[in-house]
Amino acid sequence: MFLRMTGQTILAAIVIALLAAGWQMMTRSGVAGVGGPATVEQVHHDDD
Amino acid sequence: MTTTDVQRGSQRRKPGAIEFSILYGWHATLSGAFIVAYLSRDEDTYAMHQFAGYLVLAAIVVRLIAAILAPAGSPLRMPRPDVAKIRDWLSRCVRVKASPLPRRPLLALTAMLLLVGIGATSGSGAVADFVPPVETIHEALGELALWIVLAHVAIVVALHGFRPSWRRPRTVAAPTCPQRGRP
Repeated sequence: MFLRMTGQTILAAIVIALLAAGWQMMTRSGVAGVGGPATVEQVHHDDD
Repeated sequence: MTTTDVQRGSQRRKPGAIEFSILYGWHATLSGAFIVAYLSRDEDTYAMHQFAGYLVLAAIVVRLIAAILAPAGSPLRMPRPDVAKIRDWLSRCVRVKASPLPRRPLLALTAMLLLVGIGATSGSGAVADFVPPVETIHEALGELALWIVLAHVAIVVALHGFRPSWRRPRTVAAPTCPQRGRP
């Protein structure tokens, strides 16, 4: 039972991490909230 | 129903498999979300941290509602740690000798500590979204909750994880050779 519950926890963590990452990309708060303008400039520099 | 009701003990409700399935699913959701929330607490992954944190808070609320609505004898009921038994075990270990760990009281105690610790962490995180000064408290509670989680894992491993490896099947020759390496 211990291994089963540990495996379930890991599986749930992976699924939740994927959902959370999708939410992060949708809201883009990690980009706009802190380093928004600089990140946009870096993207333009990468394109040059 | 009074305390003199002699039929009370014999009519103990047997928990169903669905209740354990719900409990295990809830445990996986809560623990998985806590791991994601703890690992994503950086500023760059703040939206992930918020998502996972609110999922933890929702899991705690759902657990409390289930504990209120669940019938008596259900594993979904709130654990009620028997502190007296743990205290007795500790005094026995100090005075006499080591005795088997009180499994149920210990697990119930850690479950209550987890619910309180993780609940306080996720609740303070939700408050910190609107009251920024609370963020410091939220961070401290998060670190404390991690230690409670690690203690819970250690206790579960001590009580359940190593038992199968310690209990080796006895062979035919085992009774005549009680000490390893001797003929």
